[in-house]
Amino acid sequence: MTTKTKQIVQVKITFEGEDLENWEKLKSMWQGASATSILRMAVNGVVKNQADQQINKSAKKRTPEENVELMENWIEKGSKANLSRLEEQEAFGDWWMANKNELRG
Amino acid sequence: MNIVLDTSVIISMLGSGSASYTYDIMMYAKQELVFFIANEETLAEIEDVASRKKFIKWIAQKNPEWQEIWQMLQSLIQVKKENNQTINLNHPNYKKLENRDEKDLKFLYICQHQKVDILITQDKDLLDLGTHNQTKIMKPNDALLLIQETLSKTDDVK
Repeated sequence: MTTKTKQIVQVKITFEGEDLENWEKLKSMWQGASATSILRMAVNGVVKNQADQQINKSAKKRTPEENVELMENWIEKGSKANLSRLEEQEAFGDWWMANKNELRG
Repeated sequence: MNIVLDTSVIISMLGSGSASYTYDIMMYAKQELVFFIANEETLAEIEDVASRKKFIKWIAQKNPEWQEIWQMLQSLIQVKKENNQTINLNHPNYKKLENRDEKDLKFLYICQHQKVDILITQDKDLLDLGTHNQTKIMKPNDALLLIQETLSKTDDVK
């Protein structure tokens, strides 16, 4: 996987790490099969095909445990990126409500 | 899946660029996995807002290259013509919005006319309604998750 693809994948993951039930489900899928299925749930479709190809290649060389470790790493980074996007979204919502009358005339 | 973006989320995306959830949704629209719907009235509002001093000052700090995103979005929006006379104005949502901000009513009209699945907004007056007939009214992050889940199910069926 190229550095650029990896960065995109990390940023695009929207899975929330606190959701343990889903996490366990995702983890079992990840352990049992290739990376593709979990990636489809976690990654934006824009990079899906490219990332699928890259990950399938490298997934064959990894053990199931290594796959889980890698995904945990991505999700941790993805969750941080997601948190910052959420904060920005909420901040904009407040700004909009304070300014919408002026902006819309 | 038919989607309406209200003025607030479009402005937010123009400001945040690819960091916004709406931008991710726009990438799905680019692949024709979802469809953006608007009408002349909703588009006119964006253009009006984009010409205001307050917006120009704000966007200059946030994202000076916003016009590239705006052009991409415009190329993806299907503009529909409507006949507002067929709208049931007795719907309780119209009464609620009339009291809060009647400028938001046009987004409910288009949802009702065009069988819209999701109205994406960051406007609390609209979000408070939750749904409008068959349309879910959601923030961008929630809408993105719903779209991804729906597309994932479609993928499974194939």
